[in-house]
Amino acid sequence: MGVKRKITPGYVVSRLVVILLLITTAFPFLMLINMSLKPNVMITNDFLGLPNPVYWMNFSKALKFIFKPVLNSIYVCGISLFFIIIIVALSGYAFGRMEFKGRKVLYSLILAVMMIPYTLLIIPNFHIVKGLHIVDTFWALIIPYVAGQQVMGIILAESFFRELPGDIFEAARIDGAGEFGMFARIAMPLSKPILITVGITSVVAMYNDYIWPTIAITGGDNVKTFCQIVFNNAAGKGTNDMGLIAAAFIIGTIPLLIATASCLKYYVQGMMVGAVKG
Amino acid sequence: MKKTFCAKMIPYLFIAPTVILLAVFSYYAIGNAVFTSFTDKSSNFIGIRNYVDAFHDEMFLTSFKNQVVITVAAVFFSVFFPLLASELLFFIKHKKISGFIRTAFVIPMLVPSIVVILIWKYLYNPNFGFNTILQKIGANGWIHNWLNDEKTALFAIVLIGFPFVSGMYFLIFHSGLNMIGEELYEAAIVDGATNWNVVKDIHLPNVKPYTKIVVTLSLINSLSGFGLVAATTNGGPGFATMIPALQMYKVAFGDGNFGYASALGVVLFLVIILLTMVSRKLLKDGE
Repeated sequence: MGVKRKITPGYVVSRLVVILLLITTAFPFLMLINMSLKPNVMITNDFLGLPNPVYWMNFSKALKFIFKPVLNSIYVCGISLFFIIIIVALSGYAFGRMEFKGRKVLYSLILAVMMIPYTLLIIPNFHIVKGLHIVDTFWALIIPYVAGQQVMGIILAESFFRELPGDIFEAARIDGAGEFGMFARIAMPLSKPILITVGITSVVAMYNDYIWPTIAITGGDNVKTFCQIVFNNAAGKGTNDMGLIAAAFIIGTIPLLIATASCLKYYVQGMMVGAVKG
Repeated sequence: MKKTFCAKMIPYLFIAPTVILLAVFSYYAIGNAVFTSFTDKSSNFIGIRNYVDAFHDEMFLTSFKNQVVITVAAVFFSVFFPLLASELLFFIKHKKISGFIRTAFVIPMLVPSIVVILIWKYLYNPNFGFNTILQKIGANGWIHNWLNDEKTALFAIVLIGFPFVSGMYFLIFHSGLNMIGEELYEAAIVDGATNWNVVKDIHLPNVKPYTKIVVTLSLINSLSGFGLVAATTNGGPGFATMIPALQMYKVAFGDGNFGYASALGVVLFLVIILLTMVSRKLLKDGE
């Protein structure tokens, strides 16, 4: 263009504010990385100083105790995700494309669940998993997670299936496809983007959760999840070596970072729709 | 005949897993919570005594006061800073730079929230963190045991996550601003509008629906969660930073008094429902 921009005071101030916001946003995370590369003594004595020399030991030591919880988190998220996707696809399709008695009533009963705060369900759900004798097993996490996470997914999937053009289903019906055939061969392949959205939003919610695991998993460390270990640490249980903890935090963040970064578009979409509908 | 019956049953088969799970983990559960709220520690029916006790419980009343402070601050910060950041970003026309800034604001959102909370807990540590910075700049008088001092604890909790830009709310405002049609700007440029005119006359009126979404979301988030307080002060010192949801959790799983805890939960539930309805009504009125 070649047109020189006028440097006004407003221009300078607005740029400075952006830089300030960026620095304050990044500061805690830079400090975490800094902590993870220093031995404990250096964290208390020289908090702001850069690691010199870089102390990689934190990471190798942290891996030893955090690897299993991270794996547990991934395992729980994976199994739950599998069931959530199946249930969401089935229910979303039924409510979006099928006609049956009681459809409206049942659907509004699902919508109403959105109003119940998670906190209120903690106590009764604890009694339910206790009654099912699954406390201290992964099922104590998986089953309530599937029950809770499906709701948002069904709402998303229902509107997706409802808005699909009817012609393709008509054509398939004429070709002799049954209800199940249409679901499996037409609806499923088309619904990939919406199911990815549902999947990523629920995985983030499940991986991030630490309140329910602290209630449902009270036994040994070998069944605890990553965020639960972090939370326990906040409560003063576990090691006091802060460099080690910082390294463990970074290791446990990586799986979620990879998962969300690779489907960020879908994640944001899911949250936006959730924001409008919820 | 048999086939039609089967065909009629197919939809119910599809929704069966959902219905069963919700019947148990939502509807039975909420009924159970309400029922439990009328019982005492040994499951005897005691009527509304738990509710009467709740309104005479000094801790519960303080909890509600703290919750008001936390929620008002949370809603304000959730609107102000993300909107500020997306406005500033809007006027950066250099594609690469604005793309970099957006990424820099979004990445921290992908870090587990409990990790972010714990980083802040370290920054509030009496021996290092913010206190190191204060010491470096010679402001020794400002050094506090932030989370353990009754005067600063609630304030410190409210500021966790400052400047509150990274995350969903920023993305909502950011995409909201970019959704405004080009023709409005063209007209403004013809009229010789300054950037400030653009913000005041085009952005703020058009971004209103997004502001309402953010207000509703941050309101519900702030009212129903208690993880942040549980992980930082656990309600202390004393009960200076106690909030209703955390108190409910502690009464249930600490003291084992599920009846009283359920009553606290039901009260909180009613407050949330009421506020959600009010905010929805406001949301609808504007459209």
